[in-house]
Amino acid sequence: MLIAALFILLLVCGMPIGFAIGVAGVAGLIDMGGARFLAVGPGKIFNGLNIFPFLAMPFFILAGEIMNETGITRRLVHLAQVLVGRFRGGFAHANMLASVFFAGMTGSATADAAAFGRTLVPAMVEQGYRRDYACAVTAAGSIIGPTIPPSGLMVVYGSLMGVSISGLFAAGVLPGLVICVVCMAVIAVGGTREGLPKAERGASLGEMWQAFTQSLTALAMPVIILGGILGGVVTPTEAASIAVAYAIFIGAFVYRTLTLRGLFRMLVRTARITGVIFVIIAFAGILGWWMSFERIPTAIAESVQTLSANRYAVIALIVAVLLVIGMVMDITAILIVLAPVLVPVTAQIGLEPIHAGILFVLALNISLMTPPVGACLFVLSSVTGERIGRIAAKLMPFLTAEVAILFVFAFWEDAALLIPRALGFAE
Amino acid sequence: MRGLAASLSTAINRGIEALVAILMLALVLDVWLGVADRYYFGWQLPWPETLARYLMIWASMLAISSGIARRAHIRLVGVVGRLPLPLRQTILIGMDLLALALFLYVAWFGVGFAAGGANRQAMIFGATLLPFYAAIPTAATIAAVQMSLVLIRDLGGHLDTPVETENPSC
Repeated sequence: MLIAALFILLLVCGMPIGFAIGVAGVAGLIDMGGARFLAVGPGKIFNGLNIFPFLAMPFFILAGEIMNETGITRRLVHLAQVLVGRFRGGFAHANMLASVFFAGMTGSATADAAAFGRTLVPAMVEQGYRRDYACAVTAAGSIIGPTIPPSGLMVVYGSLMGVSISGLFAAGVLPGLVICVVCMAVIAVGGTREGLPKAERGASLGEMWQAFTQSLTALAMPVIILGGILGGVVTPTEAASIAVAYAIFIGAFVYRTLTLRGLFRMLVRTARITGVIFVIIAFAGILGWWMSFERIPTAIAESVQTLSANRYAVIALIVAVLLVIGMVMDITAILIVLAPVLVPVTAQIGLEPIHAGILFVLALNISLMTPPVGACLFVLSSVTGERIGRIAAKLMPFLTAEVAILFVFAFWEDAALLIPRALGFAE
Repeated sequence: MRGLAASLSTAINRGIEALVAILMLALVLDVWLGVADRYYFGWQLPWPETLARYLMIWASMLAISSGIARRAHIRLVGVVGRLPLPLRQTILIGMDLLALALFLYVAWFGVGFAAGGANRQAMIFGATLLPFYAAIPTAATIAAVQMSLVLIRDLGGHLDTPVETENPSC
């Protein structure tokens, strides 16, 4: 309890989350046996990172960076616009559809929010959309990125909990598509009330074809990544490295926008982003070891069981915990700290490991857009200058719909495991 | 003094970022070689996967200091950012000192950990684990140096003049 209090105090005082986990972990080691256990720390840090599947994360980040820098995002946005731009709120629909295209290339919601915040939001405002509404649509769509594979969060979850990453990727496809469809329905229903503009004319078939052919190389990327992984041809790490090779190839030789200087900058940025995430994983190695030593996950699992033995009540409790903590803490840190604690609970109620994984990932992805610490809200606010409170207010219908989708997939195992079962990843 | 700390921090970070970029490039090439070997050449090389893990650890551990230099590590500022300036600066200096102590701890005990690797085989190139384990104390030492420099550079004022915001959350 004292260690948990120390951790929360450090967070509130503004210490970076990874460092706060480290200090709490070292305090745990001292609590266990004075200075005797201190020498264990560096080994736990090394072992915490020495996991091959983690490699997929920097590779997917790098692939996304290259795709973004070389103008591929712009082409995908244009394709989405010509496909659905003719309807009322066409730009908002295009925003959602572009999120799906983008999701197949990079597993980052903040990358989606940043890219669309810079390109689509100003374009939507120019077309007559309110800026807070444009930001809200972008935030709602951004979580499709880490839901449809590849997904950095799924890589971390699968690596830490020993669950098939390919299976998790398969499980993410359906919820991601459902989020897109439901959010487009929310846009359509609220279109008149919000006074959303309608394009004067729709794109011709010729324009659609031209946009499609211009985006073909970009659209092939998700096919390569997902086809390779879900078809069992390559591992997620190998697919990620192929994605990097493909992105470099089309950036350098097809679009001719990739330079050596730009590549150097992207390599550094990728390493820095990886370092920022991996410092949390590294220090969580110490904290996790202390928690296992003190049998904290088992104690929590037993406590939850005494609260309720009802499967649905326990699932609802886990989802509520993830959503509430996700409102105030970074999602990677939550996953690393809470998954070892809560996953035994899901096992006790008989939840299939991939189902438990997708439940975690969906809940945490949704918290990327809940105030006060929704990363996508911060990114959009800083990129567009819109106030977080105003974006959050316009986001409410989307947020409600996405939480409802989360509960559907949490309670309905057959839906959550439809694709993993079809591809042989789950029984 | 603060200007000197800032210059030193930038210079060290520039060198570290160049090294990290080289390590990342090596990592990419190594994994490509592993993929090409598995699906095309069939040499059955035993080392690309192991080497990739060690390169990743070196690159990501060194990148921690880059995150420190740019104040890019994820933190919550909702509460501390609302405190009166003198109190906020005092708390943030305290947090920097605590983080410095954390990296000094890792560096200190990391030396013993790395030395222990000298007696264990890495399963690649006939090497011991020493050069790979050394990533922990080396990166922690550089992080500690960088932490000291940014502590002097910012003196708890980094929320008021942010260096760089970079939230890489998934």
